[in-house]
Amino acid sequence: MAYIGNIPAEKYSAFQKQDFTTSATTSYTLDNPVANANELALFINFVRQEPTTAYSASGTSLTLTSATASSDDMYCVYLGKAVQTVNPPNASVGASQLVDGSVTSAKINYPLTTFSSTGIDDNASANALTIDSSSNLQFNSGFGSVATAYGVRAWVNFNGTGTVAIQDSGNVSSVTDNGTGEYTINFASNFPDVNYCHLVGGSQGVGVGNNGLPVLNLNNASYKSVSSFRLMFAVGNTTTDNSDINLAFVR
Amino acid sequence: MDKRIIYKNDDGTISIIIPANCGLTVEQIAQKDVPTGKSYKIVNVSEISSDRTFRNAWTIDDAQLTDGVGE
Repeated sequence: MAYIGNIPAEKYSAFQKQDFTTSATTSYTLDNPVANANELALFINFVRQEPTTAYSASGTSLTLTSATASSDDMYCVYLGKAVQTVNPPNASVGASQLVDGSVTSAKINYPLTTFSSTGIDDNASANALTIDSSSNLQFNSGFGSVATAYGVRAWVNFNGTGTVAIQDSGNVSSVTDNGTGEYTINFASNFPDVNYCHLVGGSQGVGVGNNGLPVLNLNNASYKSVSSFRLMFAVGNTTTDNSDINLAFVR
Repeated sequence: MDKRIIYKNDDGTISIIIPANCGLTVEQIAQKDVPTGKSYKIVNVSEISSDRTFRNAWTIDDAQLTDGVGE
């Protein structure tokens, strides 16, 4: 059979019936809202009642003209509330039919075999990156297995000679020049404790002179804290500036 | 940054803070990294000598530390 216009979606319709538990009252609640009494066919003791005369209805409120008894059998059929189930045709649901944020993780078949986003492109053929139940970030990246990676939480490269200047840094708010060869690294975000590992290096060009070795000032109680790290460069007992100081802090 | 923050230590020597590009303003860095209770002065980098021969002898008059106090 030919259609004029769009071919109807495959569907079925059914008029819905509601049974009531009766009592000595005129007020009942409908399962589905209606506009008026004409949208209901109400039966009491199997006798159809006249709309607007025997009962009125609005929204989910059904009001009888006379109260029922608990022994009465009462039910209604929704005439204006035909329940229709429609299965949309295959490949017909677009993004506009979905409510924003309505696709839950339970509706996605995991694991995804491929994944990409603007900032992530997953081309691995096996597990290469994991965030474990303790929120540790684990990855392989040449290590040989997926294992927890420990991050450099702060770093800085600065010139401690002449006009002392920071070349570049990460999670460092400033470097304090405390005097010849003595510097304090101030962290932008504090460490959780002072058990972090500090890696220190100083270097210079050949023939420039002796820029000293990095040493910690252990006589200074504040040389290492959650918010800063103090060190000095010295030749013997004499502090000396260094032109290329590199520090990294691992935790 | 082209600014430096100066404060005076208890032994009379001075410390000079070199701010990093960390998203904080020089004022915020001063309040954060200057030791608590110590007055500081924010100056242009050009006001700091690049000759550090006598760096440990540098000093400053307390009256010049007028830009704030470390928190």
